[in-house]
Amino acid sequence: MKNSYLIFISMLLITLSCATQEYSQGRELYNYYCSSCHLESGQGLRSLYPPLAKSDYLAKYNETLPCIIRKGLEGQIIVNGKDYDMPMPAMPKISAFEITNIMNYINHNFGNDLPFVKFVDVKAKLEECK
Amino acid sequence: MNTNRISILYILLSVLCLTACTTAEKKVSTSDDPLPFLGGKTEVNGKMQYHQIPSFSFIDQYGDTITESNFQNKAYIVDYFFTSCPTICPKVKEQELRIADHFKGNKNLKMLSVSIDTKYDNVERLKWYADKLEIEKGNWHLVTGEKDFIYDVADAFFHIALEDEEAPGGFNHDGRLVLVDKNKHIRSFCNGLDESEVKRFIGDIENLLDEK
Ligand code: HEC
Repeated sequence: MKNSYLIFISMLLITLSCATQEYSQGRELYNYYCSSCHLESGQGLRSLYPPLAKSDYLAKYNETLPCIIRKGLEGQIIVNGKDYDMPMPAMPKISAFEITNIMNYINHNFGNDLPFVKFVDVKAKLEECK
Repeated sequence: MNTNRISILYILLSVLCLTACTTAEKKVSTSDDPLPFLGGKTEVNGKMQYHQIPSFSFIDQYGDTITESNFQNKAYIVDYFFTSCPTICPKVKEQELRIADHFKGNKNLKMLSVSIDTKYDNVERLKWYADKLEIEKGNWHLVTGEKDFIYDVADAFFHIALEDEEAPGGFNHDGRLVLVDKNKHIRSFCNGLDESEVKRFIGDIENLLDEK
């Protein structure tokens, strides 16, 4: 009886230890496509690159994010009260599937609690943003 | 007895899993061993001469001329970069800012960031970049200069600089950070993209600054 209790606890520990690996595909893609500028922590870099972590801009424009990723972003923007003004390059070759994965990773990491996005919606959005 | 062993095994396994999935922080190197002299040595009149940084002349983000005399009696860190670099530079700059924070207020350590984009990265652009990185005036020179000189001297600084249309942003370079001592000798370097290597590098800098 006591032993099965121990086994139960350790099983729980095993599951817990790897539960943080959610959206692991999104993380891989994020690290590949985005982390060079927004950094692995999503914190951005001083006044040069804006943060994705708890970004009010990301929350406000979450629906347009597929277009931002595909087409890039230019001009002055304000993120969490701070000015940024440097072009983010377009990524014409990134797929709707990759964007979906990246968005779900960003939306649920770095302290963000934003909506879950579906492939079909991302795909539809990408058609619009030509 | 047998099930007892099994459960102990399970516990061990789960602890292993836990440590594997949460990345543990490594300690800064606490070794007191003297740092090596890097870059090879030659015998001159029966005396061993270690590789030394040659004379140089650059212009920094304030338009000031920067030569080796700006680094007299100081150790300094050298990196090669360019401001429009879309790939590795932000990460390396993140680590350099970490180093700068760590040694904040220390007058014996300086930083030298050499831009390899001599066309676009003029004084004004370097100033803009330094401001964006919120670098305070003083110990960190972001410099430009004569193109041929910058590319030629790269080798002496343990750096690689190449123009390459195929490379992201148009240049090939490395993300290395190189530590030069007050006698112009290279004493340590690290991959500026690798956080744990940078941690070791910070330990090396501490050791160097403790040297008499
Ligand atoms: C080459 C550097 C670079 C890369 C790579 C990059 N970004 Fe950006 N990103 C920027 C810059 C610079 C801005 C600010 C744009 C401006 O000032 O108009 C920005 C802005 C943003 C914003 C809006 C501001 C904010 O912080 O909320 C989001 C969202 C964003 N990027 C997401 C991404 C995602 C997702 C990826 C990967 C698919 C990515 N970026 C890749 C440089 C980059």
